[in-house]
Amino acid sequence: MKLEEEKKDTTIEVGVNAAPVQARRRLPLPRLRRGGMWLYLAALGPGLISSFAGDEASGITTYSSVGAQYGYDLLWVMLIATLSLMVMQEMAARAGAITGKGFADLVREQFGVRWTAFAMLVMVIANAGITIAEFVGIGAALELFGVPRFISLPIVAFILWWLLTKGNYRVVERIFLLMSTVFLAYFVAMFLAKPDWGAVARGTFIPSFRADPAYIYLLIATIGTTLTPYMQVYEQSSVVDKGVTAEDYKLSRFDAYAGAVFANLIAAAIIICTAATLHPIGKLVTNMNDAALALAPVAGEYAKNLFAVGLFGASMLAAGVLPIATAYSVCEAFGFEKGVSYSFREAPVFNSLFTALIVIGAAVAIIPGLPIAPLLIATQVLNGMLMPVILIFMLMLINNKEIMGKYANTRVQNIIAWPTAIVIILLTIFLLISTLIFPLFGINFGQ
Amino acid sequence: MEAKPEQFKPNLASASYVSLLLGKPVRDAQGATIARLRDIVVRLNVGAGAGGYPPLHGLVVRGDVDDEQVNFFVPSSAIAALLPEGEQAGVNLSSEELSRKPFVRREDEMLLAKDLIDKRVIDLANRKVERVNDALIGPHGSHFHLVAVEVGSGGLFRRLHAETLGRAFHARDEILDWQQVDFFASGASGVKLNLSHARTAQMDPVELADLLEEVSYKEGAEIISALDDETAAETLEELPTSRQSDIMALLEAERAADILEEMSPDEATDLIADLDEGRAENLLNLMDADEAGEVRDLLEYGEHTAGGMMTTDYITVPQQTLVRAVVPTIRAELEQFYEVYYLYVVESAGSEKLVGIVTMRDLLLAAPDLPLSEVMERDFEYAKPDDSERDAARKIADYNLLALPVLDARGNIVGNVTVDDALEVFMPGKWRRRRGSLREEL
Repeated sequence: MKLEEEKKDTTIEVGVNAAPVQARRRLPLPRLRRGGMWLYLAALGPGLISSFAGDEASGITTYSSVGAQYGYDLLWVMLIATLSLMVMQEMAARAGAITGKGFADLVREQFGVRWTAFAMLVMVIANAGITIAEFVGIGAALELFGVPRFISLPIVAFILWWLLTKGNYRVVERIFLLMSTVFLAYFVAMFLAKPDWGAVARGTFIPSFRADPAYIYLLIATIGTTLTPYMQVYEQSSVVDKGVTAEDYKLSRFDAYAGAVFANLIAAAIIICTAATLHPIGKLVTNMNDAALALAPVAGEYAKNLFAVGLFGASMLAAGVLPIATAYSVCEAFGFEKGVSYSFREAPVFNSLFTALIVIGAAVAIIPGLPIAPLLIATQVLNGMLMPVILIFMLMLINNKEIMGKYANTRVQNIIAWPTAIVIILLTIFLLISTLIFPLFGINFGQ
Repeated sequence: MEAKPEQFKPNLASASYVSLLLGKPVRDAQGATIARLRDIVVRLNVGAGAGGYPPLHGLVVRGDVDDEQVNFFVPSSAIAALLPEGEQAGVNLSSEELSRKPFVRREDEMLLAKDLIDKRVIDLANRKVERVNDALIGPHGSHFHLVAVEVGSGGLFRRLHAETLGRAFHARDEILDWQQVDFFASGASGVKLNLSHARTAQMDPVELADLLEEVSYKEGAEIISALDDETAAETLEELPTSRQSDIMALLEAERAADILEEMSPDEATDLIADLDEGRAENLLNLMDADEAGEVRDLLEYGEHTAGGMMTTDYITVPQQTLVRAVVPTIRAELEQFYEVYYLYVVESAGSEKLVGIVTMRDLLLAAPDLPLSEVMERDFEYAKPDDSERDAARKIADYNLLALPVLDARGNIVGNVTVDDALEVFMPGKWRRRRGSLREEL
């Protein structure tokens, strides 16, 4: 068009790129985003990763113990926990997508400094517990290969710290993720172990309850390891970081649901495996060698090695994510400078907090003669006890119409989420009373 | 904004921390406690008189009305004194009659506790996003104004009632004059606050983009809509594509289309490709036909190919053109484009067949009366639209080029890949921007 007008001067011709546009219009345009299954598959990200990270050292130990000690009796808890986890992960994803803000951000804006300090304290304690558990897992995995903890842990802690601050953690993260996929072997082992499927079904769909502190202890540990506060916080952060908005949040919901179901299918497989192999012979899980036995149907004499590889990968994955995510949340809430690219001087709180978590994790895990399995389960009990605190904050945020608008919780979502919080609180109170207070009066439950 | 005659310089020494006042008793003229302070209301957009410091409009207090606890409003005219500290700490009222009707918010009323404290603001002087720990109100004549916010760790410890602990950590107050602060209307729910963001809009696009990466996409959209089209486009270009499309999705379609027209075609294409199809088609239809056409052309190429990364901002000149005639003719196009690296010489007028390339250096050194065909480099590197972006980027690196033409099967030029786009292919994610997100840290 423009060309025509400028033709009067024969020596000078200027064409700015294309010929008339209409002539070149060819639809369809392949790069335009369309719906469909592949979009859903592409969205499978944060949910799956955070759920994989949920099935780590303490999770595997807890699930193994549950199966070994109570057979299929506690499987019903997994069914309910899966439902709760789906609702909780979905709420976290929704809060992130609608507000574009992280959990710590929202708590600070809606509840003020003091409640934020409380929530962050709870989260730091819970996450410090899990970080310790991860290092215990790393140490135990390497001990299965014959490397003593007092040698492996300082080295691993330093490498991890270095990778996070100076290196490219994302690349190694994929390696850890790949290693942890060996736990998929539990699915195969479950079938090879030939469990009594009738008993499996009964255990899953008919709840049984015992007023026995040891039973409640493992019950809380199971809930604690399935519904970890940091998973919700991490899910919300990744939804925000991925730039998910109210418009495309349906994909994240799918991701959250899929992750929750998948993580708990593995968990159930672990319980079924140990219930079928360890429970009949009355063997309890006291260390990682015992836990590894459940993979014997699939790997025979190599069960230990297979288990160690998976344990190492899963524990490394979580040991990297947790300290950074914790420090990130705390700094987000209080407005401190954050990010691994800042030096200690520029971001003192962020750097000291995440370094401290790694050091504490490794230092505790290195203590000689640690009762490994009981310690791992204890961290999950702690988690289970603290989880309702974070869940209540989340529920108050997600029911706040001023920030969530029409995306606030529906009645059904509340009917699942509130009882989850209340039941865990009641169980926690019962456990505290039965283990701490009743013995003072000479009353002992069970045992 | 500059009110010359009565320039108001707040005296911070006589200002009080809002956090100290909140929750304190509110007493009537006889000294009897009638309520407790819930919030402090200031008015925005009141004109030049206050020098931009929002005046105190009144208080929200909670007290007994007909044996029921209600939040009601106390107009600023009824306030006799604000005492943040000491035994008499609280609010003393004059004898003015109070209506005690339940409090209802109105447009342009900001509640300091609800809308400002604990929220994020932009520190205009340091170009940073800060978390507000406290607000300060100070007297000016007979009236109180919001004069500053506190963003340091000192305020944090004070609100936790842990000043002693704070001193151990060398916690300090960091006070930002209100003139140096911009905040987000989207933080205030249920009421409309009209903010111009005029001072934020004066920042340069790179600084704006840094800020926008730290706030939510809703707050980002609020800032972007306050910018002129050109600045908005440049700012968006500095942001990651997913952030761009989130913000775009919140803008009015007409406005979004205007901004897209100002963006370079390759950036606009990436953005549109990230939107959902309906919105994308809608925006393409609203855009100027030429610009939309370029984007539609670019959308035909795969994302990680030379075609997907190229831009259609380039200049072609017929080979018969004389050197001295080049600059006057391409002046209009030069004004449109930010960077022009090479002139692409085509066979003849109206043709797109590329026969040579002229660098800006060659053009400046060449004898004015020569035609471009005598000056141009006939032996040049190029990419095909389906080449991978890595191959195209590698060619730019290997041959030290500033740009690489992209030719279709017939040798016609369809676009060009510039060195900055090539750089992005090779640069590790962490380097692109320092202020990352949690996901980038891991």
